[in-house]
Amino acid sequence: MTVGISRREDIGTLCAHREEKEYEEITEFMSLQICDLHARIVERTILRGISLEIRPGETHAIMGPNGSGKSTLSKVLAGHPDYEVTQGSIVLDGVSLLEREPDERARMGLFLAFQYPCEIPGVSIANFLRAAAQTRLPEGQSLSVTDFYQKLYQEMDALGMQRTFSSRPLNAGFSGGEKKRAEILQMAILHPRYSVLDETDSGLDIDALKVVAGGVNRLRGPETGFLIITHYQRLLDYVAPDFVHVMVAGRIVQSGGPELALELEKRGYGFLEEQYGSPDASPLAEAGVQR
Amino acid sequence: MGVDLPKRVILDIPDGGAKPVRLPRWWKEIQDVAWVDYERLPMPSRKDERWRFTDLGKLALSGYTVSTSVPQGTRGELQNFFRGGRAPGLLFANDSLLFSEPLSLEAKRKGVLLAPLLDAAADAPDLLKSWLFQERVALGAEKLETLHRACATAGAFLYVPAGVEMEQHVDLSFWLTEGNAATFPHVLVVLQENARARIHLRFGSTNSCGGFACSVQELFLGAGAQLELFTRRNWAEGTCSFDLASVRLARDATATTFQFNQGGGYTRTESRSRLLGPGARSVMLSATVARDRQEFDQRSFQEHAAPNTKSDLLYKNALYDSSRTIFAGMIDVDPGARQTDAYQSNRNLLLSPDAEANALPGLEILANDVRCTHGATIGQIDPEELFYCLQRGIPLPAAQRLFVLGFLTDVIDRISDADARRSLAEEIDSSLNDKVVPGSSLPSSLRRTSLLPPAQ
Repeated sequence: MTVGISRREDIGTLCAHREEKEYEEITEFMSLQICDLHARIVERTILRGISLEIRPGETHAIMGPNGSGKSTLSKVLAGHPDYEVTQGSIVLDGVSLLEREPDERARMGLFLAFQYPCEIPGVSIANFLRAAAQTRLPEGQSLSVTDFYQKLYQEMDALGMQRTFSSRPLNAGFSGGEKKRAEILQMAILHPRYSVLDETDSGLDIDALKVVAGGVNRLRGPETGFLIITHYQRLLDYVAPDFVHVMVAGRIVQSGGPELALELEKRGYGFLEEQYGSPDASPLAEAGVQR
Repeated sequence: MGVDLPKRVILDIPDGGAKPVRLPRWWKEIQDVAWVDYERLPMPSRKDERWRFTDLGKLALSGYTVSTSVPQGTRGELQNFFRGGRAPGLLFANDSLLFSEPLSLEAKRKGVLLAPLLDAAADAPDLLKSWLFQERVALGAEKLETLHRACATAGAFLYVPAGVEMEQHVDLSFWLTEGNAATFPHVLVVLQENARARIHLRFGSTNSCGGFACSVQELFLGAGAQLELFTRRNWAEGTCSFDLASVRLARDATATTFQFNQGGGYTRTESRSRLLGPGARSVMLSATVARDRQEFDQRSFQEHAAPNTKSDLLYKNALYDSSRTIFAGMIDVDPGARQTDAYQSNRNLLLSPDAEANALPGLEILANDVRCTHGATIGQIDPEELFYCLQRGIPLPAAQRLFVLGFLTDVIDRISDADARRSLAEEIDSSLNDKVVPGSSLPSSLRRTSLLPPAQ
């Protein structure tokens, strides 16, 4: 330290240095790590021991029959209050998420593209996203409105959304395809480290699917991880996953590369359900007894 | 010369007497009669349907002082506020006229009159006398109306002659500066045939707590006249206030009134639209943000007395904390009022399990061939919608603010005047910003139980 730097500056420099160092250290542990996750809603156990690690740069797909717990997993990750985690852990870049509120989890870098996005009456897309983007800035700093709109319009153009859409109330009266595009738009603006896409492909025609997949692909990179939840192989034709997992009755029963998705497409889920249990779990399974 | 106010029972006259006010004989007579009526009328009672649900414990009619002087510092504060307006107007504090901005020369030349009531009593007595206190406005608060008539001397008279359309809006504001002060603002507006005016009316406090306000608005619209009236109320915490307003509409006249309510302790508004001529139309809008233990007691009356008249009421209330609202509305269609088109809607958004909204929509139809609809809703933020907002990183208080803004948007969007719409939207937005209390009023359905694994 040179003489003449005030003590305050001195401390500031030290802190900046330390933060940088911690950041470097953490990068080694960077991942969204799900370990032996059990969760239930009311008295019904849905997740029965999910373990999965998504590192930045990786795209994972979870496939599975209806009722296997795929959507529950996405809601539990995001902290939906209806679900109770009874066992296991969720750790994001070295920090446990379980005791954190949904909004904290989101600000830490977790994004959920909803299967059924909600309508927010009277709140425009632009105002909603500005509020969301503002929360990611350090306290006392405010969002540059011009920069924000520039980015918003750029992403809307890329997603084939008319700019006038930005002043429409969020998701109100949107078609299924428009809602899904709006989800991808939000993901693009908020630029999360880990994105969970819950059946984003459901209800989309092939053109909309391509647009949505294009939006996801633009965000892929060495610093972003994706968990794509889907029932069908279709979306994976456009967003090539690095890993494919199959979920049945609240557990991941098989993992592999992209070829697994193709196999499932051919054979269906029936053989796995026979082997690992159907979603209508027996009373024994409800009680947690392993088959 | 004594005090020209009737003898006081509930109001203290400060030592040395209230500021002497010189009133003409006809006005003094009105005051004397009003005072007798005031003493005769009973206090409001919950047995009276028109006071149903009101927390009468919040009605404090004693312990206030009339004509309290305004401290110099406060005077400066209000002057700064007034300068911001840049429109003709009048500013009163504790019933004293502090500042006035004259009409444009052009408006004066066309015969428009904007004057404090006392000046009008001296300069245009016949004109004033033919309109002042001509309307019985109360919808339950008759006792308060007579009190107002017995005490009111501060107020504004706006008179717009036939065919004159005012370019600029008029700014009227009434302030309380002391917690023990009482104010009796009177707003008298006369728009002759095809005249047009826009008024921004503000009630507020510069002090932080308490006070008593009892105002009356008499609004007379001649045939084809058009009035837009934007009222903002933001009394200090604990203030007990009554605002009784009646708009009388002749043939083809149109009135749009918008009220934005916040602050205060107990705030009662009685709003009456009297559609007396065919083709008359009244739009009655209100947005309220209630907090703490505030109570907003809203009574309305849509009186259809002529055929082909239209009224459209939308009152929206957002309730935080332990606040309460009461909406009691009535659409009344006279036997001759065929082809009436009346709408009445009250919507309430509860942001706290302790908030309470009461809605009593009402209809009384004595004519055939009419279209009348009314309805009320009381709801909370949908937990899934809230979760969606939270998942985007928006903390609960900010998410609630978004929902409240979204909820009030459709009332604000009904204002056609772009400047007024923008300034009201900004004011509502900032009123929500000011008091974002972290961790406040989480709906019980979203209170998270511990997500930690159970102890092994």
